[in-house]
Amino acid sequence: MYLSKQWRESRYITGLAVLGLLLLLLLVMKGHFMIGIAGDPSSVRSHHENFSELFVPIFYLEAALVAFWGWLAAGIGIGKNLGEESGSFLFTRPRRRSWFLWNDWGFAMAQIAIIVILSNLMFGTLIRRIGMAQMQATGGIQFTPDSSPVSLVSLMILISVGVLLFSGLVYSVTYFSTIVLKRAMGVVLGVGILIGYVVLSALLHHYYSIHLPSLIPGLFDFENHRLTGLVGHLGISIIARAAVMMAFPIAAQVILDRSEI
Amino acid sequence: MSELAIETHALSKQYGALAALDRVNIHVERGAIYGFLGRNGAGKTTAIRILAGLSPATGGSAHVLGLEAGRDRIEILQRTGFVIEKMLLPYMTGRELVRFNKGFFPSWSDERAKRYADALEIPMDRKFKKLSHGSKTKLCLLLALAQNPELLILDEPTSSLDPVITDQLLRVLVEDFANNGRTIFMSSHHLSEVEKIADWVGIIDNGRLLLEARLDDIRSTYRRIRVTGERVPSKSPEILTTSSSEGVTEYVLCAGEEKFVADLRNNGAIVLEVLPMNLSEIFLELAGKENQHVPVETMA
Repeated sequence: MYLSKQWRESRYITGLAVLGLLLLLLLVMKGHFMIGIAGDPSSVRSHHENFSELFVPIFYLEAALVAFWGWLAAGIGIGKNLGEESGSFLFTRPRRRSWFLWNDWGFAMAQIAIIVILSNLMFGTLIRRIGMAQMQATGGIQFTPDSSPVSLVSLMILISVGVLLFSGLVYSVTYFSTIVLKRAMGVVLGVGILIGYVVLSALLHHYYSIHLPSLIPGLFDFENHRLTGLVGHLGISIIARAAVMMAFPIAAQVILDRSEI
Repeated sequence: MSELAIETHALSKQYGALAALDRVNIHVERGAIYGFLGRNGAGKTTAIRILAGLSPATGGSAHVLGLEAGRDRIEILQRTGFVIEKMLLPYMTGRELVRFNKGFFPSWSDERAKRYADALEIPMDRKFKKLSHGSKTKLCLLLALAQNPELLILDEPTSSLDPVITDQLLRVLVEDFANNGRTIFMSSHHLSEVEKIADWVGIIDNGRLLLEARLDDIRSTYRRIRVTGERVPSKSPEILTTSSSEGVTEYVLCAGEEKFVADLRNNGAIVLEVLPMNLSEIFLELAGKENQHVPVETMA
């Protein structure tokens, strides 16, 4: 029923996302050949930094790609229907307005989750193959020669959660904007809000040394531009970001429930 | 169970300083075909949107099938077919829209949908956005009818349709839907169409309901009376409108024609003519814009 509408509307951009992730996978493979980390366990010490730093571009590129998908997906929900004047048809089906909204949101988040999980399974498998020798030698992934190793599985789960939270935030903010404007062009407002936040954050940091949280969850610690490990208190950060992400569809529901259709 | 399919009491809708609806009282009996007449912007669509729960009222109350509009929105939508804006999901074909829609209504009938698609000659494999205006309207109606509702609420269903399609739609509504004892509430400004099928009419203008009556009663009791004389009355409860020109006074009466004429004669007035009125004439009298708004059917 409604699922068929959602799939129908999102199938092309989902295809686009899959294509993008395949390209990213190719990039990772290319990267692997360039940094030459495969094979010989004796090369662990000399290449471990390159190997562990492979996760940083994977995380950021994947986050950017899936967030872009989220941004596009937000433009094909109820906001679009309201803009093309099919809102009165949709909202005279015997369901609460919130039912449509949470279906949209849930479906998009499920798609994001599936895309992220599948792509990270793919990346994880690839990384496992190309870095097997190093991981066996060190008992996991070492970010620095002296740091304790982290398992590949937990690292991929962490990356998945990070990408999911960032893309979910982009989707939620943009979806909220389409409800506010009652049209698909709300995606422009959505991107405006996100860019506005980044600019505000930069200005506050520059003039007042105030640090606002970044839009992308910071999973990795860096020292002098070198990756040194994972950041602390990740659990709290994840919960806080999930709460912020959820605030937007809740606000959208309040607005939609009070709207004239 | 309420005897009324739709009942509003002092229903009001205010947009800033504009009163889109001003204490409107509508009473639609179950099984009736009710023509809700008014000019563009009179308040017809606003009233229908409130009944559908798409827009909240700012005053008064509205009940549909005994349920409170807004509060009992879901139950109302389960039992009522609404056709408001003739816009469905533009990229879906008729067949896909049927599949999409049926999941929402437990009482949906595929057999009915197919029958209407055939009867109304709707190209079901064409995308909605590529359908002609007439086919779009017919598809909207098909979806509303196939959900097997007790009540059908239609907003200007025949606007900008050609006479053949209009006739097709009206026949389906009357012969197939209303003949089974179900209720139709239909807004329109096409008076001749409403006159053809409705048994009740409500006339709304500037957000105020000016008249609500059985069409037969209107035909049998409403009269235009032309009179000359010095001592003609100007006020009486039966007088709807009065106008004078070149010594002739014209009354539009909503009831009591015989007594009124007798009283006039007793007062020494000369009754020139007593004419029955059709819906179009009554509408023009009530809407009071005769000089600015002359429908084709009156001219013909």
